[in-house]
Amino acid sequence: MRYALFAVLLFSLALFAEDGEEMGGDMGGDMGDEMGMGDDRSPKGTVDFKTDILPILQDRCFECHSDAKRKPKGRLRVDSKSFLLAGGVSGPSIVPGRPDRSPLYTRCVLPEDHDDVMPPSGDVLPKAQVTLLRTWIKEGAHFGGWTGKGGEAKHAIKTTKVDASKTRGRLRIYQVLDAKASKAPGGALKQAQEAGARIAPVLPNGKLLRVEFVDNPGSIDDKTVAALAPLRKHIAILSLGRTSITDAVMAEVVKMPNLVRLDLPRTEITDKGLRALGQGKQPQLRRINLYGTDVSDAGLDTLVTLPALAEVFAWDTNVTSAGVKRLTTMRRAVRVHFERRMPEPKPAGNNQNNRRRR
Amino acid sequence: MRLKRYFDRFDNPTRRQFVGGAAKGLLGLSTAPLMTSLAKAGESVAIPREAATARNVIYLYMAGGMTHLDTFDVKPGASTQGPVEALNTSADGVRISQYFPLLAKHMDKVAVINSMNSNQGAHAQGRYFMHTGYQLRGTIKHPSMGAWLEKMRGRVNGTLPGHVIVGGGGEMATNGFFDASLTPLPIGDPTAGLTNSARVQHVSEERFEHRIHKLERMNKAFREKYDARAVQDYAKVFEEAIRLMDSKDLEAFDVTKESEDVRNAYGTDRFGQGVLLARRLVERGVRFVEVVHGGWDTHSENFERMDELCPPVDRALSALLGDLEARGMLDETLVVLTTEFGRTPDINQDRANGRDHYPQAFSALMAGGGIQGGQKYGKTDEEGRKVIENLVRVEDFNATIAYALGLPLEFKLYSPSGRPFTVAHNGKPVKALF
Repeated sequence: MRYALFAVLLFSLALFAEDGEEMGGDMGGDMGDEMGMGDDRSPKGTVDFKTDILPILQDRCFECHSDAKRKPKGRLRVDSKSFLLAGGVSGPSIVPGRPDRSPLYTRCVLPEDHDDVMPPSGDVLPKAQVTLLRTWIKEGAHFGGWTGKGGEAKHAIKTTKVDASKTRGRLRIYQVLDAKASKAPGGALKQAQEAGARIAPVLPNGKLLRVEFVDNPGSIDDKTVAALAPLRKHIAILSLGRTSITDAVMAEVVKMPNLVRLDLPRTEITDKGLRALGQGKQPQLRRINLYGTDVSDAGLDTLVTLPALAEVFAWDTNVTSAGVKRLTTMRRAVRVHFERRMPEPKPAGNNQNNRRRR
Repeated sequence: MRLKRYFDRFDNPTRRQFVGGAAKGLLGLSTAPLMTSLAKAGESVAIPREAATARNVIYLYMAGGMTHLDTFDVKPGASTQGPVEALNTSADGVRISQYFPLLAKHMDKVAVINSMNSNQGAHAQGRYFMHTGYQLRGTIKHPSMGAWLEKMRGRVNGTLPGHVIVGGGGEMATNGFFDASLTPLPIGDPTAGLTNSARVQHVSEERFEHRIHKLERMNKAFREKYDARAVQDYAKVFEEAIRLMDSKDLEAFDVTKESEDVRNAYGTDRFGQGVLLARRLVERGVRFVEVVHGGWDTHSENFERMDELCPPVDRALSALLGDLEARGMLDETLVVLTTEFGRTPDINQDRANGRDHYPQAFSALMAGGGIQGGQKYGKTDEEGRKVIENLVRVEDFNATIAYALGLPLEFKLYSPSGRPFTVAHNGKPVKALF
């Protein structure tokens, strides 16, 4: 028991150390390049690779992570500079300047009973050695002219860098709108929740809201939606699928200036409701889900006035390809899903699947 | 301040109080107050939220080890390919095997990962690793992804179970060291509905309630004497079952409510009906549904077996993607297809052209839930032996699922023995897929 506590404490300490470092300034993931990865200048630091670090590696790592093994563990070799920098299956083993991001260090400071601790057998590295590793990486991981065995890391796995700012484009509109939004009044939130709404911020800790009715949607009607008025500036996603709303609901919906997404599947919404929606000209409304309603081409036509419209779901409605064509000719950026593309049904009884199971 | 976080384990008093309260609610069998307390339970633990592109997961598990060369990592002309041919798809530059002609039309929605890598070459170990992100150990049981999601985000629909596994069972997905109430609901036969969920006919409603009251009276003393988590959890499971019995949502489990055409489009086999069931459940607020398709352990007659194994997947997955898209559900439902490992590029002629276990390189699919379809990620060499580009470890794969769902990858939860664990074992999400 005492031992377990001690291990937890030690581990927490290690975490504190890391956290402390991050507090010193999160400098992004590309430190390696700036620190001159692979720089052969003589080390300015206090730790010398050949005398201080190499013996540790030889002693404790080479057995599994060198050419002594036909298949080095985790495809990582530490018997050459290029292999060390290239890393293995888990990516680079060293990020110069950042011990907290260098598995060569972090894997050695895990608690003794941790699944991933290195070295996996024998004693954990003594504290003095761990400190050397840490300082060496912190000082820029200079090899002082040492290159070790075999030049290029031929087995290394190519990794393409991703520009994270270019991913998840769908969330960007919410980020933009959220920055300008104000905080929703707490009282109104509570009231709406009591009326059966499930409310959550669209973005973590964001101000824009997603409002939906999951439990017993049949009991939700135009009045419930009208009661959302105090939240109208804050609603970005409104899901009313399977509720008992009618076309009259649009009176409130068009007053939601930040509405990006409106879900109305399987409701009594008709072309009349869509006309009201079109007249609202909401600036942000991008996506409308109408599947399983009685809307038709005439209703679809009226959506042409929505400036941001990008996607309409109209499968299982009276919308036809002619109507879709009319809308998309005028608004090329709009995509209308009005067909359900499923495989041709295969009649039962003619199926040999799962005949043999082993 | 920080220390508090590290010692803020999950068997803290608030949770215990909550479960106690839920158990007491059993006496009245009332549902409304319980639902609110359920919602509170999800909030009582401050788990950080991150931006999410997906809300639900439909997780298709190819048990036995799906051959990568004969499915989604085709190598036309290579000696390791055997007689299998490649098909062009609706996505430029993405080719898949001849066994997936229906899916080929939907590949514009799908991202293919051809650089999966595991270090577990045996079934039980590989499955466990894929489901949990951790290696199978004697000393601890890790939770699988569905349990992590439910633990961190609670339920959407208070009545239905948080996650469900169709055609699998405990060997596949588990609550691990989390409360027993986070065990996935197992369903054997997807066409049978939720079995044993109706009140036995010869017991009237009053008598049933009377029995429940009696049971509660008998249990009360025991529960007060042994105020342990397992005892309380059991009461919670029991209470949930009763709540579900009375619920209209029960029909979510009934695939016979779907039209004949839809059922046939998904395929009338077990897997097809299971995938259809998954869609029905997700539509009604179940967050994570796994459907298992077994039989991929093709040590012998690999190519003949493809004719039986692939068509149900081809059909069900195509139907699912088309169906989700038409309903406007695809953008928030992450569809995953994966397996424990690939199969040897070398064809084993001693066993009638079989392929053996091969964790070094294999393939998986992701679609919907914010994934950019129509792309291939990662690469193996010309013969499908080794990953040469953008290697994706099992932990990274799970981290990608967690990233889509907005689960905090660095947030630590503690096992009862006080060891820290994270949702995808410190994997790095493949952001290029989004």
